[in-house]
Amino acid sequence: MKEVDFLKAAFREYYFKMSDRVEVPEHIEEREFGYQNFEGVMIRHLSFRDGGDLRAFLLREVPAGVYCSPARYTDPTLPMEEKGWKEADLIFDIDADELECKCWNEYRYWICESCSAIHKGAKLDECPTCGSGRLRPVNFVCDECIKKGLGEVSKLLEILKEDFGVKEGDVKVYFSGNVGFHIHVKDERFKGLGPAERAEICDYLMGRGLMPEVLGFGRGMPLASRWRDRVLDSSSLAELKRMYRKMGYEGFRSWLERVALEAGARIDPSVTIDVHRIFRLPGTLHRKSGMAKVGVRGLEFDPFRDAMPFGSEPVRLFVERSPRLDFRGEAFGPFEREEVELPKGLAVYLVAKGVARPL
Amino acid sequence: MVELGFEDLAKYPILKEVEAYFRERKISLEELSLDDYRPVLERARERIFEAVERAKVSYRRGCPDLEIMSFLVAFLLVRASGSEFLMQKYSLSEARRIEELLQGEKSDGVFSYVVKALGIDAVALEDGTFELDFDRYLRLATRLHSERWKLVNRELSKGSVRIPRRDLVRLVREAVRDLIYERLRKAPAPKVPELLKGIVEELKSISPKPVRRPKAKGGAYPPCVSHALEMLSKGENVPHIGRFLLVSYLYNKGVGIEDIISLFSTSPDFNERITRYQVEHIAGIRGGGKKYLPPSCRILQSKGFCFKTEECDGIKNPLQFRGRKVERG
Repeated sequence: MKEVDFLKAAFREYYFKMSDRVEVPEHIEEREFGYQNFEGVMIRHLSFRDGGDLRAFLLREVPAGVYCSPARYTDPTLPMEEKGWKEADLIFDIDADELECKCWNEYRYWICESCSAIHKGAKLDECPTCGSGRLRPVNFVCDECIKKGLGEVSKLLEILKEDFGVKEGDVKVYFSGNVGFHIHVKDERFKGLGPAERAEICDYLMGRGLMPEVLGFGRGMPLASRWRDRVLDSSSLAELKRMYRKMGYEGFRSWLERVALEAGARIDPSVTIDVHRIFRLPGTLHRKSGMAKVGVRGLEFDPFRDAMPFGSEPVRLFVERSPRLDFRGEAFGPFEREEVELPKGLAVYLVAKGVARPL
Repeated sequence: MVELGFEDLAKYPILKEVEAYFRERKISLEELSLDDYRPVLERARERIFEAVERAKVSYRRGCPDLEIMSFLVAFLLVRASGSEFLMQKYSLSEARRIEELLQGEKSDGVFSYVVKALGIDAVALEDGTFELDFDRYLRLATRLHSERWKLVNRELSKGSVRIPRRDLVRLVREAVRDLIYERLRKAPAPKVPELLKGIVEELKSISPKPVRRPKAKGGAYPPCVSHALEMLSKGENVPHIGRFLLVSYLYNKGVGIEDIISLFSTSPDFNERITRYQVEHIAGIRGGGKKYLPPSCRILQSKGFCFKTEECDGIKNPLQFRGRKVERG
């Protein structure tokens, strides 16, 4: 398949020329690695002695995705029960894709796996062209989604810093390489915690289970809690009282959880809770975008500028359909069933998205 | 530095100072067959039976030697029985005794000393509350089932959780329970002298009968339900989410209330009245009359109680589990 060959060549070029961008984790020999090849097969339970070993592997295999465990094991290559789990960094995944964004109608496509037709807009249950139910969603990066994602990131960082006392230097924010953000926390206090404790931390960050008592409703005294302050920042005490009178305890409680979710950080808890997960390795490429997972500084980010390693040399390709995209200060598209010449970075992106093929 | 008296050691025999006390006296099970030690042996046996029957060991004021020695002897007897049920039950019951004594502890010095000895670095604040690191708090509080223990319902600032003294003591109970249980698990099995064999045999026999798995309609149990049943049959403490899953799953599969309640009788903190109330509540006989469905797979996963296998593919709730897929050939 030409698309796969094209992408694989691009990935090979990256791992050949820019392998210094791949982040070698601390204690690499105690981490479990996994990768996905371009046939979509996932291979886990690998380990590498050092950075050289890892880079040699990347060049040899040219994986479509590379993952590494935030956990450290006595022997990462053994089956899960025998690996000997030691500790794991705390990680968070904020999927910008999950946040409602007005761009959805413009930047969300559905590709029919049966007839290859591409449709745009809200979720479809079946293909309007052939009636098949096998539809694959494709999400294009949009400024608005990135901004919203970064908004959630900054709420998360604020709570980690103020409530949990996490030092700035212990947190690293990454663009996931596609449409989300990954946050890695290297703080000793989290490392030994198991799934139950991590689930509690997630609930805390999302305000899940917040009781009216914390704000002084129901039985009990209000607490000097940061969550109380957060709720009071968005709703006045008078409004809370009014809602409590109107809804009663249970109703108020559910309402409060919704208010809290707005004020809290919208993370994907299952990622944080699973201490055996493998997580995309910083500096490696994402199969669905051709972009790298890269560090984000100062919460200002443009994926095509900051995460797309491929340059501007022209590439000819046939675009089935694509929205208007801004690539390094220049607008391209929208395109529909046409032959175009695009900068390589954008070409790789559209081929990775499955909406274009190289000529 | 606080001065610990014999009475303090008797109240809190988990302190390391007690070990020194025993080392000095060179106590071993062999010596206990002598008549002098009969009262110690009797009190040790009593401690264990209090644990089994009331899930709490009493405290006898004014006889520290007897209390300290019987604690160790009871510990050795429980260890010698090799019964997981007794180890769990005994750890919990001694922990509840210490909890109560600590709750009423008059000396701030002794209080702080005991708390610190358990590895809990709690800082006493002027208003009588305490501050401790959130990670320490989480390790102890996540197994407490009431919502007020959730971190989100606590005062957390710059990594410290502020809690009232009462709550700190409740957490201390969990730490003591872990400590005693771990010591039991790690202690080598002692050689049992002839005279004590009778008691050890008696202890072995009071372990509950293995849990009879109720027959649910529709064949195999999903792995999460099996896991909860497995824990119960070993006398392990099933977390809240697991209990809720078990009751709601079995009830929805047509298992009777009485059969469900009897399942929990092996649980270290079993209390029939409370269990009955909770089971009936989930079944919709009490409270709002709402019959609960089992938690979804997503919720079980987020609470760390999902043990999915390939057979779970495609289900969203344990009730949908159908066991081994039939291969069509």
